[in-house]
Amino acid sequence: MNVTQSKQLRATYGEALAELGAADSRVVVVDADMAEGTMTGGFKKRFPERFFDVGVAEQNLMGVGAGLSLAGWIPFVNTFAWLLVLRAGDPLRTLVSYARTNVKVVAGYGGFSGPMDGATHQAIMDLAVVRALPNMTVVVASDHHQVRSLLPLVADLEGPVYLRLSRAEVVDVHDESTRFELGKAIPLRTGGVVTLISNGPILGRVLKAADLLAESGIPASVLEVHTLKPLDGEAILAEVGRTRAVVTVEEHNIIGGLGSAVAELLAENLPVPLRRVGIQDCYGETGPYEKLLDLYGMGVQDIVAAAEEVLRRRDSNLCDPQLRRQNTP
Amino acid sequence: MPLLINQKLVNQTLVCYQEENVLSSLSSKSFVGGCQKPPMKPLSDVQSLQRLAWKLRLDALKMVFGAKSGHLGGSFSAAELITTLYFYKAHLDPRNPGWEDRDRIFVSKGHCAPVYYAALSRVGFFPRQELATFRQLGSRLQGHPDRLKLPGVEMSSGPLGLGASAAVGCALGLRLRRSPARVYCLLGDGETQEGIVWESAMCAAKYALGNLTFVLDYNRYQLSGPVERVMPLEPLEQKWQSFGFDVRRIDGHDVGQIVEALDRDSPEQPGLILALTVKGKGVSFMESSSAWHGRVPTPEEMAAAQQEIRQNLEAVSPAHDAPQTVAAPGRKS
Repeated sequence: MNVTQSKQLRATYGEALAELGAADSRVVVVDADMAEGTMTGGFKKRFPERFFDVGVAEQNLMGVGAGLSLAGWIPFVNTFAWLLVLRAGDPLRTLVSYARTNVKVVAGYGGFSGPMDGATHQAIMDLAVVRALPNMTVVVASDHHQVRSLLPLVADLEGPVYLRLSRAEVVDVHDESTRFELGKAIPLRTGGVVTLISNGPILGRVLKAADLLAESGIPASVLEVHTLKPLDGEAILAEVGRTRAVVTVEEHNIIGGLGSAVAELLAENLPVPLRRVGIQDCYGETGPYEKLLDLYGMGVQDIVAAAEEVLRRRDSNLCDPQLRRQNTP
Repeated sequence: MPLLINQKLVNQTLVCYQEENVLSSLSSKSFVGGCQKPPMKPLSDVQSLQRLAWKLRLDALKMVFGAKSGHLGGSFSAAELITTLYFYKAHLDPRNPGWEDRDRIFVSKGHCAPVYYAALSRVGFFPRQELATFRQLGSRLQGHPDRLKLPGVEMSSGPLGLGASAAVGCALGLRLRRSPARVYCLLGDGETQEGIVWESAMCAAKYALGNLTFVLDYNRYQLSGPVERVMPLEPLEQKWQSFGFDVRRIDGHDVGQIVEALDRDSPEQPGLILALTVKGKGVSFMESSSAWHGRVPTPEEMAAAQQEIRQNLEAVSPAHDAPQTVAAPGRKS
C-alpha cells in the first residue's frame, strides 16, 4: 500500500529489514549503539541471534561486518552516514571495497536529515567518498516503496553495496506498480524540454518544481538515478539528448555526488548546459529539515530557477564561447 | 561464499603440492575432520617445525632481496608463529581453499607478507616458484596480501589493526553457523597502537569468542624505533587480561611453547598469545633493530644472512635430538 501520509524512511527500512531477515536466513545485522536511530531494533527483536551491537566503535562495526561476510553471512551494517565513510573509512576501503566483501553498508541520516543535531551529524560528503571506492554499488533511496523493493535486491547482489537512507519524513513518489532494478534509472516524467535528474527524498521537491515549470509552460522530464554507481549513462544520455538542458538535484555537496557524476558523463559525451542544485560546498547548521533545504539552495524555487537558467543558456548557446562571442552585440 | 580460486589454479597447485611435498617430510598422518572433506594434517614434531621456520626465513630473505623491497624484520620474528599455525594447528585444505569449515588464519600484520607467502606456498596454495614474483608487476604476491589475488589469503591486509576486527567478525559468523572452525589472528606489537584493535578486543570479550585466538608478535621494535619509546604498550599482559582475554605469555621462537599455547582451550574466552620474539630473528645484524623493519640487504649482507640462517637450520638436527612428538589435535566432527 502506498504511503501517502508523511512517514520516516528509516521506519520503513526497519520493517523491511525484519521482513528480509524472515525471508533470507543469511542476513545478519550489525549496529553501533544506534538501533534506536537506524531502526534495526525490529530485526533485533525477531532475530536476536543474528543481531550484533558493537557499541560506539564504528571502525570495528565495519570490520565485523566484513568478517561476518567471510563466514558466509550477508551482513547489513548500520549507523550514521558520515561515520560509515569517515570514521570507518579505512575499514570500508580495505576490508569492504578493496577486499570486495559482500557487505551491505546502510547509511542512516543521509544529507540534512539529522537536522537538529547540527552540521557534525549531517552527511554532505558520503556519496563523494563511496563513489570513489572501486567495487562499490551506491544506491540512494527515495521513498518507502523503493526501500521495501530494493532491500532484497541489495541482499542478493554479490558484492559491497552502500545504501543511503534518510531520517526525513517522506511520502511515496512511486506507486505500487513501479518495479526497480539496480543500475536502471527511472523516468518519472518524460517528454520535457528540460531534464531534472535527482535521487533520494528530495525527489518530492523535484516533482513539485516540475509541476510549477509545467504550469508556466515548461514541461520538464524527471529522471530518478537511484543507483549512483554504476551510473545508468545510457538512460541519462538518451534523455538529455532530447532536451540538451540539465539540472541535477541532490541532498549532498555539489562536489562528488550526483551532480558531479552527471557532469562527468555529459562533459565526456554530450556537453550541454548543466546546473547542479545541492549544498554549495559549505556545512549546514541546526534547524528544521525543510527550512534547511530551502536555506541551503535546495528549495523548489531554486530548482525552477536552475531549470529556467539552463534553458536560457541552451537557447542562446551561451555554453559555446565561439557562439557566445558571435551573439554578443 | 565466493570461491576464490579457479579450477586450473587448483590443478597447478595440486601438482606443485605433490612435487614439493613439504608436509610429507614431516611425519605425517592425515585424519578426518570437518564436515566436508578431510583436510591434510600432519602429525609433526617440534624439530621439523623449527627447521621449517628456518626454511621460511630463507624463502623470505630471497623474496625481499629479489624484489629489492619488503619487510624482513617482522617476517623473521613471526616465522615460528606462522609455521606452527599453518603446519601444526590449523585445519586447512589447499585443494579446497574455500572449505567452509577450515580454520581461518588472519595475518593482520600484512607487512610480514614474505614469510606469510612462503608458508602459503609450502602448504600448497600456489606453486613455490611463484615466490620469485614477490612485489613484481602483475604478480599475485602483492606488497601486502590481497585475498582476491592469492588463494589462502583470508583477508586483504596491510593497513594496521584491521585484521583484528575482521577476525572477530569471522569468529562471530563461524560460531553462529555452529562451525567447528577456529580463528587465529597474527598481530604486530606496534599494530596494537591502533584503536580498532581495542574496539575488536572489547567486542571479542563481549561475545565470549572462545573460538578466537590473537597471536601477538611482540618483537618490541616498530618502524621508527623501540615500541616502548614510540608509544609504550606495557603492561601488555594485564591490558589484555583486563580486556577479557585468556593471556598466554610465551617465547615466540620456541615451537614447543607455541604448540602448548595454541592447544590451550578457553571455551568462554578469547585467547591472546603474547609471543616474545626478536625482530630480525636469526640474522645477527638484523636482530632487535628498527633499521631492518623495511631495509633490503646488500649482496654482501644477503650472503652473510643466508649463511647464518643455514647454520641455524643445520643446528636443529633431528639426528642429534630425539624428536619430541607433538600430536596435532583432530577436529571432532
